[in-house]
Amino acid sequence: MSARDFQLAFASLIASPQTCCELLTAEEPFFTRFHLTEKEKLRLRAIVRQKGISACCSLYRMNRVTPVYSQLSNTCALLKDKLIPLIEEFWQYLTKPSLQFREEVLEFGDFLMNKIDLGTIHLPYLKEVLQLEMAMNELSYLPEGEYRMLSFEHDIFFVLQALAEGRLEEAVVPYSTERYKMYIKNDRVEMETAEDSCIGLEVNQSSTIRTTLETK
Amino acid sequence: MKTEQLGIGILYNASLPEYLGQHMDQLDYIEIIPDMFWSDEGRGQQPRFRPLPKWMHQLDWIAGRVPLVAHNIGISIGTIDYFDEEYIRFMRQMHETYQFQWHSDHLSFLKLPTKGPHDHNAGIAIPVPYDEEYLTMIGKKVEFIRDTIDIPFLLENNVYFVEYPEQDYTETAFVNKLVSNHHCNILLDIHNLHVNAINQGADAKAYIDELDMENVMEMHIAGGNDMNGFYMDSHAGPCPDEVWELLDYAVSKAPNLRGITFEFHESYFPLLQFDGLNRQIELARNTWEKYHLKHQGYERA
Repeated sequence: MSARDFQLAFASLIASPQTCCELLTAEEPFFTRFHLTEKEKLRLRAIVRQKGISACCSLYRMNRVTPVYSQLSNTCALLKDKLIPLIEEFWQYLTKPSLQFREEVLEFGDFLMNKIDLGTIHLPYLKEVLQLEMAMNELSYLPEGEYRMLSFEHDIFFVLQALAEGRLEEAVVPYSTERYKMYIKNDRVEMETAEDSCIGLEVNQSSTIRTTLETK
Repeated sequence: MKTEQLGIGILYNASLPEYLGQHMDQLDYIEIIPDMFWSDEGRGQQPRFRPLPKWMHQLDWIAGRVPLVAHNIGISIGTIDYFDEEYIRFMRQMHETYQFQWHSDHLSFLKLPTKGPHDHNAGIAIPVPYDEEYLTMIGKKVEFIRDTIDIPFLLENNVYFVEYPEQDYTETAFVNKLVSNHHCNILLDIHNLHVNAINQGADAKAYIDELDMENVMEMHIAGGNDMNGFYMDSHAGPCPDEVWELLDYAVSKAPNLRGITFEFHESYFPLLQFDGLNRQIELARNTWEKYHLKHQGYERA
């Protein structure tokens, strides 16, 4: 039990600079949460006093934010400086991550959608972009043939293009009443409208979405 | 257990398909992280491991062209009171399909057990304390892995940012004992040695001198970069000069080396491009050819 708790205690330090500070300032409340031998306590005291613990904490944050940032890149771009406080709030809520890309993205997406629905976050186009990226993420784990039906209040391709070009805030975005079928074909995410045109979505090297429109 | 000398390989990532389509002849093998090719639905789920169609399509394409090597990130061999036998058995199925030349993981712990279907992920690979207790525990897992999958199993040396006081062994003594008592092999990550030399002042050449180099079957090389006063094992593009120098030193002492693998993170592909990748492979091959000529398969003692 003790060695197992030592590993849990070390992991909890890496996951939280605040917990490191707690151990540095008042160690008993931290130690009482775990069954530790004196040698393990000594090791944790030593670890938290080494400057390398900050590198461990930074790596944890980078590794944990990577799934969200790579799979929901446009959502993150829309959130701008709201992203980090939201991510930190999400980490308080989901304290035992699997770091599986799919789970982490789904959990964060649901967390964010809940906030949007409650009105605690209000950003133009955020809900639509999040819906699009969540559907893309979901489909990327499913075999060809699976699809998702999506509709947007605005021209989602215009939104993505303007976002990529940094002119979304001043752009006049057209409204939309289209419904789209999103699916995977030949390793590409594609969307089809009721008018039977086919739109290919590609995730490029910087994980932003490029759009091309080809009429069948 | 015989394995062929392969030569120079690359760790597969999502930026590589186009490069491989044009330059596969530069490479002797591809190393994959099998965990990237499936989605783990969690313990008790049926099926638990769901292949990702797009990635499997790539894997099948590669497997038809060059030998494959597996480099896992999910065994978490150093976790106390935890061993995911289901995961190992799934790896055996993968091996039966793709005939990996060898497979490996890290000498660290990453996953922590929970009561739910998914493990808690510690977020970074944490080195184990080099204590007798851990030696025994890891040794048993190594034996299970070897009994389950009939190819050499390698453990990779760690990057570390903090040190445990009062350990029973040094890292090299721990690894040497693990290898000799439990018949596994070593994946020597040259860049990890370089990272530890910069951040901790560790003597990389002394590490190589102390290590049982007869059992080193694979080496990793990579680049890194600085972050907040630390040098990170970020696989950030080309290898620094110190890594090439250390590689030369290590290869000269590793008679049973089977392959040198270049690792880079896909986000650094724009920095490398096709020519940059070819250059790294060419430099690795120069070192390889300096010390290794093709010879018959190596049989582990």
